[in-house]
Amino acid sequence: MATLGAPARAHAAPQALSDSAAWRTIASTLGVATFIGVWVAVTSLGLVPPTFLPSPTAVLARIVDLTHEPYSGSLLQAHLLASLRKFGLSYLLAVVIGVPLGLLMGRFRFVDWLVSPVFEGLRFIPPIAWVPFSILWFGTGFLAPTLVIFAGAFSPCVLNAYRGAKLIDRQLIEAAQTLGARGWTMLGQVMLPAALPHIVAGLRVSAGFGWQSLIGAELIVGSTGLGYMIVQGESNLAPAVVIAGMATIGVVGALIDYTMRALEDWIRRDWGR
Amino acid sequence: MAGSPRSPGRGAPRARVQRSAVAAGLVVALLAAWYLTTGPLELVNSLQFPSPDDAYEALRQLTSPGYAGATLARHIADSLALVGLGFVAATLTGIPLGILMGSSRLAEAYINPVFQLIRPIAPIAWIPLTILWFGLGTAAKVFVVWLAAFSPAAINAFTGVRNVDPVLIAAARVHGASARQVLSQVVIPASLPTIFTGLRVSLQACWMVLVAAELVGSFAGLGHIMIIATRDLNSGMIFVAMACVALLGVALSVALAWVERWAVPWRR
Amino acid sequence: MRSRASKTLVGVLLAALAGAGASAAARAADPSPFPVRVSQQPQRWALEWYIATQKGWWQQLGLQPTMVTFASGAPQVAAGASGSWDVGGAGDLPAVLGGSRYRLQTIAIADEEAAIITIMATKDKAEQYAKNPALIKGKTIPVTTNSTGQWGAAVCLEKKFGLKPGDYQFVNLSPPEINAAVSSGRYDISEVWAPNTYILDSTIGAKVICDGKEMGLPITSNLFATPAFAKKHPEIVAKFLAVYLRAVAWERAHPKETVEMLGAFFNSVGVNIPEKYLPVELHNRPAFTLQEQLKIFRGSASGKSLAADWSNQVAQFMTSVGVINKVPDAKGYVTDKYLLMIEHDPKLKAFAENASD
Repeated sequence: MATLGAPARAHAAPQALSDSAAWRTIASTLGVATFIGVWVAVTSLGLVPPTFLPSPTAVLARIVDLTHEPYSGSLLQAHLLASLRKFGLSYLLAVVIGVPLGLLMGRFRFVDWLVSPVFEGLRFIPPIAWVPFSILWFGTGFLAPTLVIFAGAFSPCVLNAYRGAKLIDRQLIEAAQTLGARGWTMLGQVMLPAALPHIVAGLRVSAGFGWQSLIGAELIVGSTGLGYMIVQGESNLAPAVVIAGMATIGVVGALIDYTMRALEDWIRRDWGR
Repeated sequence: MAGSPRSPGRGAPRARVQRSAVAAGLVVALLAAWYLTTGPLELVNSLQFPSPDDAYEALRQLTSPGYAGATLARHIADSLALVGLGFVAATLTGIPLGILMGSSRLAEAYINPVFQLIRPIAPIAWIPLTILWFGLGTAAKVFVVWLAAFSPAAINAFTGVRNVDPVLIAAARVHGASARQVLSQVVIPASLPTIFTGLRVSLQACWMVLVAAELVGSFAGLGHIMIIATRDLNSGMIFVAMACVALLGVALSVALAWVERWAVPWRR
Repeated sequence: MRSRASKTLVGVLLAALAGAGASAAARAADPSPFPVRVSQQPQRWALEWYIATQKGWWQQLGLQPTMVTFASGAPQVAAGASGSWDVGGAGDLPAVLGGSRYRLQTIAIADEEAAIITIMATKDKAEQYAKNPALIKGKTIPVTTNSTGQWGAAVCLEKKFGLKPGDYQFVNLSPPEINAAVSSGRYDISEVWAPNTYILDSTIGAKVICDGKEMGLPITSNLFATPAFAKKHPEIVAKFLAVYLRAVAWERAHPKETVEMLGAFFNSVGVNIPEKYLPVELHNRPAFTLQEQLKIFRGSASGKSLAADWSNQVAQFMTSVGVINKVPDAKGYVTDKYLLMIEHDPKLKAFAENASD
């Protein structure tokens, strides 16, 4: 996926005043202000009842409340932590299995032939569609959301590692072979570094998918986490809690993306030479 | 994200034969393992994974008399219609917005921060508000699909437009093209490949959110089957629905690749 | 159990003989409690276990429970099949589903709850619909399909309001989503069950216009044990049941404290309903003592008990909507074995009927 922002600005043609940084900052501020302004206006003018959309201040107040008054059994930070723990474990699992698999598929035609038919079919199944089987297999225990998150995070890991491995210069591999690199040495010390920029791009996409899948799993089953908090808010007709949960999901999702992007840029810079 | 692992050197016919042989062998092995573990060896409880018999039985029941309120054909038709509507809505809104942001830096600065604020929220997390705002009708479900598909469409249109060679635009201007002509005859054609990449990602995103959207009070649909079958602990039914989702997903992806070759012939 | 006791005895003797440290002796004298995994939902009938935990009754029978909480019955019953828990409770429909799919053993009734399976209408429409049911024709009614909620709603619409299935349209939603749909104002009639009935009553003034009790439906929640665990540890299942029954006996003797306990329990599992509904909930969902249970389960061996009849009725509904293909034989999964074990063990019986703290 392409990105909005810095790289695209690189070849900005020096144009009129409207393109200057100052104007852009003003426009950005105006954009956010419009968003919040419209939100405030429709709620405070009574255009929509608070049961449909609570005002931004109500949501903020709710977020503050949630951090020191337990909601459906836990504080907001505890729900967040529960979600992050499930996410962390499953994501790690997807990376640890997915990346080597992708590299192997890129390196050995036989592995590629063996795995591709299954992988190609499975990757079109939405992560949420794994919820029924995850329930049948793992109940609502810790492993149930793991399968769903894994399903979301796995395929970008594999695909990007595969593509990275495919693009490695054959001469590099042959040179390594003549120097005696085999098996794990080849995989870990030659292919992994060479394909790293691609892999890291995959890791970022994969983290995003994993996070979104987690929320889906928690919305449908589960008794902890942000998704669960949202369902409870829905059940108790407390839209402020729902939006507070959504905002937390959004902020954390953005933070994950930002971190991965920083990692990606850093690796690109170091490897790009 | 798009594209499939495929050995680029598909030239050698012998390799192709070998490849098919491996694939066929794998499929046979998987089917055998499936039959053995769920059947004679009784390693897997049919509640946890259906035997081929269970799956066939479920498929038969789905075709006639139907399950979860409709027959398989109707479930598939409803799911496809939903994805189609969401995809069209996302395309019609996302691409113009992307082009607008791509061609005007001021518009980008105005819209982008809010876009970035909302984008990381998982589409499925919108479901409670969706029900409040749109009820349970088609609009609600299309909204959820739209949420998922909108941003890839917009982002790729934006990138496509922004990455058009400035020399090309300058050349067109020199030859007296109006701003409108520049947009319709230079910028959009040049960014079409990127826009198409966005559409493919976008369609895949639609498909990925299908089950989630059908949580919003649906009468039929593949996701609807899964929701009901989970409540009924009917693993055969879940399996059939998942298989349909996977097969249709592959078919959609192939179809879009075909459309792309037709619409952007200069790409490959 | 015997081997456990003798092991303890040997342990005590050995410790005494060796003259080991006081702490070691104390540890050995305290028989290590039997771990049992109890699956529950944030529902009124899980209150008994909460009370037992507060009062320390589990330990008195040498049990060490771990509560496993589920939001609904289907995942819970599925988890039972994969061995995630040993005993528990859920609505009768999931219990029968478990009985049909893997012979999940129904060992007692958790509570009667036909009164909380309702059709609610919004404040402005409740009276109109009750007076003139023809107004319901053509409506889209949110229900949780393939649940006792749908059963109650369908029977209400047919018997009380004289409507045929073609006169209205059910749309499937989970209970939290039903709340959202009704509060959106787009759907003025809906199937709802507790505690959502109270939430909709207190927040938007929606009113119950029909319930399962009025229709005489045998809707209950049941207690059950997985077949594997029941076979291996029948005495633990009986003890688990005795703890439950003791809490029921206690509730009868302490109505005021029971209300407070329910409030505390709901708080602990994240159910937020105004206090005034707590007594209503207890009134609508009575639980049964040992003797009452024995009556309900009398004749289980031949499949002729009241409990078997109730389960059969649920199973018939399930067959009619395609959840299961045929009504399972109640003899295979509705049993009074554990109730009788308590009845025939004077010590356990006294425990189960002890209404004091």
